[in-house]
Amino acid sequence: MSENSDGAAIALSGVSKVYETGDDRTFRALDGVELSIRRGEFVSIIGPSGCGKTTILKIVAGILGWNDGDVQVLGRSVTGPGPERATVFQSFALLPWLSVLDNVAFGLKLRGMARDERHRRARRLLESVNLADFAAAYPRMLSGGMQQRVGLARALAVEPQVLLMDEPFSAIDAQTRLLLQTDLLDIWSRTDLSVLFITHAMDEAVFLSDRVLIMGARPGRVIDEIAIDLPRPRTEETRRDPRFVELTGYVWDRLRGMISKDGGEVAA
Amino acid sequence: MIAGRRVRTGIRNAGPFLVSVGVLAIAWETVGRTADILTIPPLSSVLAAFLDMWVRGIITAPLLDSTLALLTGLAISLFVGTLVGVGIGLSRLVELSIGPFVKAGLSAPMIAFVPVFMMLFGIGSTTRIATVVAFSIFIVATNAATAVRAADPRQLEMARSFGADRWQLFWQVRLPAGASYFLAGTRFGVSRGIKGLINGEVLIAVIGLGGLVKQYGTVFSMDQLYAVIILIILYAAIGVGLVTLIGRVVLRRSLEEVN
Amino acid sequence: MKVSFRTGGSRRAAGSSRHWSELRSARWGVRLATLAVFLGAWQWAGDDSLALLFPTFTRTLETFIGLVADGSLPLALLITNQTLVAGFGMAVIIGVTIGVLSARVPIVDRVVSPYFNLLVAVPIIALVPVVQALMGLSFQARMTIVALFALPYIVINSAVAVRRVDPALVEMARSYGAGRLAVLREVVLPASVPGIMTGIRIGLGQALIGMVVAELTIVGAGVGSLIVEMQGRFRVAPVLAVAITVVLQGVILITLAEWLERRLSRWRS
Repeated sequence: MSENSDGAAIALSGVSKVYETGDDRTFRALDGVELSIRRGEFVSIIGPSGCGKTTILKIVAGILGWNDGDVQVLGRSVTGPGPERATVFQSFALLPWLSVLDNVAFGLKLRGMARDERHRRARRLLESVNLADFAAAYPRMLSGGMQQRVGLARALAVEPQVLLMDEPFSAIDAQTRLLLQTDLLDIWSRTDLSVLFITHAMDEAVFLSDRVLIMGARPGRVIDEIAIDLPRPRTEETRRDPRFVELTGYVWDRLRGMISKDGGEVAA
Repeated sequence: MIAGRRVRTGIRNAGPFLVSVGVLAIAWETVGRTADILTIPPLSSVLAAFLDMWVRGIITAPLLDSTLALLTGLAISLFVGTLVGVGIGLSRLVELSIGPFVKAGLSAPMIAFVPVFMMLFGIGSTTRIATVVAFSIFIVATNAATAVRAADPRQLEMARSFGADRWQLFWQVRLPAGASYFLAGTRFGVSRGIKGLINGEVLIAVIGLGGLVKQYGTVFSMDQLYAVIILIILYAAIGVGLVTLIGRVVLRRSLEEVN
Repeated sequence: MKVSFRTGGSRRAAGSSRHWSELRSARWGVRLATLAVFLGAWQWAGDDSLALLFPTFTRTLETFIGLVADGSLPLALLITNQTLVAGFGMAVIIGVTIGVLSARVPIVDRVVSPYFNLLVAVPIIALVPVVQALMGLSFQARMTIVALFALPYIVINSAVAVRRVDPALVEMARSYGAGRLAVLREVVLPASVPGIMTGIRIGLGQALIGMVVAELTIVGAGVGSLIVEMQGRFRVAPVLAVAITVVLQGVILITLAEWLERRLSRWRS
């Protein structure tokens, strides 16, 4: 292991992923991906669709294998899912037959925590995402934004050190999304969570992150890295900061070249 | 190339099934030869009986006879069932009055009426035709009703906004949207009709393929019994497969014509 | 102008104005009127002068009451339903197990599924003589026939239900550390309940057919023997009364199954 990644929350070196597409053909989704996230850092990955950003997240989450390279979380090699990681999903992935409370407690149940104790902890987390009144409700009764708060509470309930977020706000309307972004930063600032955040929204990446990684497609790899030097805590004022506009513009410039070529070749 | 590859993956997927068929056939033959149980004759003697009966016309005549009755029953079901279904689909009054009967007939054990049919219509072809109708008409009506309502209201509205009249709406929007449901109804109707046919014939006991089952079963002529059962299984599988195939061709053609 | 007017008009007709059929009383009125017309037609078409002719509604009703009063119909139904409960219960347990297995284990799917896809198309009644030859004129034989009728539908629908489980939910559970068994218990099975219930409801309809088939062909029990006996005496009214009882019982059971299916699927809407 290289020395600078020893203390890293997440470290990928030379990671490649090849999908079998049937008929003996293959598709190289990731090619030699290098990335490292420090403890307590908030890092976003942005890129055109099909660049493999969600593939990276699934590999780190331990639910998808890879072909070459090394993946480490908190200095240990990834061999599967682990209690120090929790994931928030694009589709929310709530269990529709369980109440909101039981959904939040789901990860704890899988870890064998007793019913009363996991419900107590789930209730506390529902309060922290302002959904205490909806503990007995079912997911279908909730708006998309509220459902994703449940998804976030479920992830936080298992007290992870690394939070993996897979385009968590992309299925949520624009206004609610802005509110969720500030809420997320608020919760994150009170913890020492390291966050890997996948998104396709440039303003979201810039607003949330300490660093933004830009990926290119076919094969997917990290082609640029932008440090976001906006001061924290970030508020609605941040969105009007000229530096915010400038950084967002820079990200767009880097992405535009790839998208206008239909996600094809990129001069890296 | 692609076709060849598809055939190869098809064989690979069907492989375990074909192996299991082979194993079962060998097991059947072995048990039949060695165990000497009356009820399990060797597969080879069943196949021999099948060939013998086929050549001598013992099963071909009932096969034709049964098929004729099946087609008659299906024709009645398709005609009346479609009329009723279209009525249900178009009119709330018809739906409220006849709908509950159709819904009940769809899943109720209509076979209980076969003894009544036998007493009223005698032990001839009329009874099995009535059974075919009783088994198949409700599914045809149900799918016809769904087919009539299948059109997307947004597409209808769009077509109206371009000034389409009733006939154009029917041909351009309703028919293509409903065709797949109607064909599904026909397919289920045929599948259920075949079951009705054999059920009716077994209970009537003296006509058609089902009658042969009853006759050989009663006297424990196991070779012949298994031969007829195999024929019925093939008959049902081929009948349903044929309608599925025809349905696909018709559907593709009707979609092409509209586009 | 003309076009937009027509669009607006159609929307109004479809949406805001209340159609007569939305009134509860109107709906019940139509239903009762239809039933009255149906029974009236039956009464008119019937002819009670000979026992071998199609009986009137009132005659059939009288016969039904007579069969209930002398205890023969209730006793027959009791015996018949024992067969149904045992055979259908067996089909549910075995069918759901095979269905779930075939959806989760590819080799089971490849070996087993073609047989059940074939069995769905096959008239199971053709297998009755084989069951009879192997098991005799026994309760077990009748139970097996009921189970054979229901089994393919339960297997296929259970397998479809398990295959349709949202893979995102399975992925979620795995990311929280669920193993194969926990994924099955916490996600796959609860998510499949509505689809499995659909299979059970359709299977029940088939089991009811199997129940009648078993008793009409393997003589010696329940409503089947009652029908055969009355048939032998050339009396249509009791045969019709028993047949209608069996059909109505079927309609009631299936309505109950539908209700249960809806209740267990509520989270899906």
